[in-house]
Amino acid sequence: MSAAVHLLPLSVVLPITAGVLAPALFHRRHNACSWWAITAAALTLATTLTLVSEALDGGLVRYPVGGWPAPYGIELVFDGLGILMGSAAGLLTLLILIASRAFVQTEATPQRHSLFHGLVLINLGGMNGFLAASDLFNLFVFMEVFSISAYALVALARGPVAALAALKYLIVGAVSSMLVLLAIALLHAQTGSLNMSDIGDRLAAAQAPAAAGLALGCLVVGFLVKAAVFPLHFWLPDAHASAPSPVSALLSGLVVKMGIVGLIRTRMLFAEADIFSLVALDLLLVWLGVAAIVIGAVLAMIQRELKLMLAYSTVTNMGYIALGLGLATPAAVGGALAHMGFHALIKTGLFLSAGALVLSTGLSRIDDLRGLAQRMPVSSAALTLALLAVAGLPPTAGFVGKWQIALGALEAGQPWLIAVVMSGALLTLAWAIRIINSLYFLPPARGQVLTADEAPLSIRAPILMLGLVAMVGGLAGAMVLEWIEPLSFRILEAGHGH
Amino acid sequence: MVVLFAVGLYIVLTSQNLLKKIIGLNIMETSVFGLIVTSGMVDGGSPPLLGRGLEAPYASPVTHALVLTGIVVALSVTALALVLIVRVKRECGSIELDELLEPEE
Amino acid sequence: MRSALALVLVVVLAALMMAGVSQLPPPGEADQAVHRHVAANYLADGVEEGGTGNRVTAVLLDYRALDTYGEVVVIFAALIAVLLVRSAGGPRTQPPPRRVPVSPVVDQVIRLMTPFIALFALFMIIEGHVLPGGGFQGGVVLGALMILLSLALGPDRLRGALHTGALFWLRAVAPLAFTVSALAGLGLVGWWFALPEPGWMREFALVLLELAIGFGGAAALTGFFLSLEEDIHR
Repeated sequence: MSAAVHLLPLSVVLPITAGVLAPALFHRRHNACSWWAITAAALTLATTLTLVSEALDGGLVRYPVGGWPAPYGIELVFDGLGILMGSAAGLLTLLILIASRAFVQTEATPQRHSLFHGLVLINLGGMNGFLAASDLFNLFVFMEVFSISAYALVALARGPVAALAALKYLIVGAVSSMLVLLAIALLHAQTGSLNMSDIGDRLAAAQAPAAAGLALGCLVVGFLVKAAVFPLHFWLPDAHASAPSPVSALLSGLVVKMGIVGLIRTRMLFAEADIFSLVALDLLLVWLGVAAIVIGAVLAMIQRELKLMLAYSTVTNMGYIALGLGLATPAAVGGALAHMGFHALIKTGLFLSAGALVLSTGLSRIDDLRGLAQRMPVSSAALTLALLAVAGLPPTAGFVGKWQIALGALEAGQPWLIAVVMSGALLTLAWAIRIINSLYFLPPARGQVLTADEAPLSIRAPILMLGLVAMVGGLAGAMVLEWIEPLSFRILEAGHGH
Repeated sequence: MVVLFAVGLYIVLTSQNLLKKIIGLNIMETSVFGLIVTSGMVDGGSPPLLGRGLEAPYASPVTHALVLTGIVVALSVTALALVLIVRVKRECGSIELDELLEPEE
Repeated sequence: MRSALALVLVVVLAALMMAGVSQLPPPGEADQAVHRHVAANYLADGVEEGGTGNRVTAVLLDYRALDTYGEVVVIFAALIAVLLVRSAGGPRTQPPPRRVPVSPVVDQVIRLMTPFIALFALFMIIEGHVLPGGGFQGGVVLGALMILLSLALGPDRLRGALHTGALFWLRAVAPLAFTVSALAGLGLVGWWFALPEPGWMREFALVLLELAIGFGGAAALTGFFLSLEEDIHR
């Protein structure tokens, strides 16, 4: 075992410690705080990337915390989900922190800057811990770490609307957390263990299929809520649209994906236990995915507020991911995983560039933003690139996942699902073109548009980068699919191996 | 336990008062904690303190640790919820959902 | 209509849950999976392993230290979340409610009891790794004491007692102590979050961690109370 394994706990402890220190160190020096947070996020990203290269060389990176072997202690495991989402979390948090300098100055009083940065770093540490957790209760604890910071970040925006949205998010999130905890209680009572693969091995011996089924149901519903998969998405549009834009990017890009991660872990646990067929779960995911794709896209189309459109587009895309997982063929699962990573990039780019437009003009409706491309060419271009990517045009990053999921539908012998995938993409393209059209080709309708200034460099650089990556990301699709192949293989093997 | 959970969930779903929703949430949480502690208990067992002259069987130490963590998490979420409710009350003057959602929108 | 629908949903859910829960092994019997597997190992390990004879503390601070770290981070995150979202000084639609003065009886009793409560809290924190109790429990008692004091003496006396910067350090003490202990484990034993080897050092580390958890927890509770109080009254 090489010394690099010790970096795995570091990827959790480093951002959290930096976040804990932020309010104590910087409650007076507000500007320095941003640099502190950016440095910490960059170091975390470096840690994660080292782990990624380690994992790509030698398979899983395992770490028994405190030297106690699983199941007696907590084991951290850095696998394909860590490679994919861990690096996405590190990179996107870093870009969001860079871009948020300008946003936070208008949204929050100076005293709150250090609190904001602290919470974002704690959120990153929580997500890294969640991704590496192989222990069910550890998973729950880190889920709470990133959830509680997410609830609060929504309410950073001023005004009662944000407070109510945060409260709704909090109540729904807390109920889903309790479902997860209930499932943990049920599984622990049956097996006496908390380690996921250990539970998987011992669950059959407990001979309590109803109790195990209840645990499965609780976990699935709990994580579907966190992932905002239709029809449990109702909390998402309010929370993601009323939060400050960098926070929307963080939530829509990364935090909802964690629900899917939990879902994948759940599926692997129960596939290993092999006490009942998971066909029903897969079928449920397929149908929910189909409904989410269509309904999310239609709802996005009828919105007038830019950020609400983007929030409903998250519902659509979580539908794609659920559909891909539910199809349970190699291509579809690979596509779902790739889409998880690529959509994180695209959605972060979308919310940050849309946020730049909203920030400069103070306007949030599409019709009010007409003609803004002349005053804000860079932000509009970044938004356009990301919009084309989210619609899934080749060769954008959004294309890879959808193509693979469509292939998976063929593999699974359900070609009609290709029509669903296509219609979701077309509907998305329709509202994307509406936005692009307003920005570029319609005359300005509001005075603020005529006087708006281009966003500062700290926003322009990250959004342009994200837009370009989103636009050409599809070219790297084959490489990413190769990286995550062992993971999708493991997800499927667990299902059919016994 | 099931009854407590159901009562809590019912309150969360139907109550129009935000504060009551939070109370419902806490009832749910309590029911889950109850289940965890019960699953770790032993009839006639002693607390899991070794080297104090207590006799086996001991109650399971794992469940106690889990509940402690669960309670702390629940407390944190409740505290955050209460502060948000106070903010809603200050800025809107009400914590009844039906009153809050009626005007404009 | 809505509540009827919710009632049906809840009853169906409750029936499902009843079916599941009633299949669990009956509680109280010593020969079930819960007691035979991991927990049995913790109990069989003996006093030396895991640092202390109080197995709950051993589970919390040694075997599953990462969970407890996450737990103190949750408290800390909730505390700064509260400070971040509260509306102190923000717009309000109604005049603040009047403070109700505390009766002299309550006031005197609180003053009288303070040293005893504080002593009990400290005892729970320091002896928590051997006897029932511990940092969290002692911290809650200490936090409750601070809330009582702020009721009796007025919250402003308490608020003025500590400099803001120092206050943030106190609030951060539990997660920071865990970070230090985790690093010490890495340096001395070779694993993150391992407790250092010789018995006296391990006990020292445990007491320090419990103290940090206790004081950090008390600071967090007091922080919750004071910010709520401030938001309601001004």
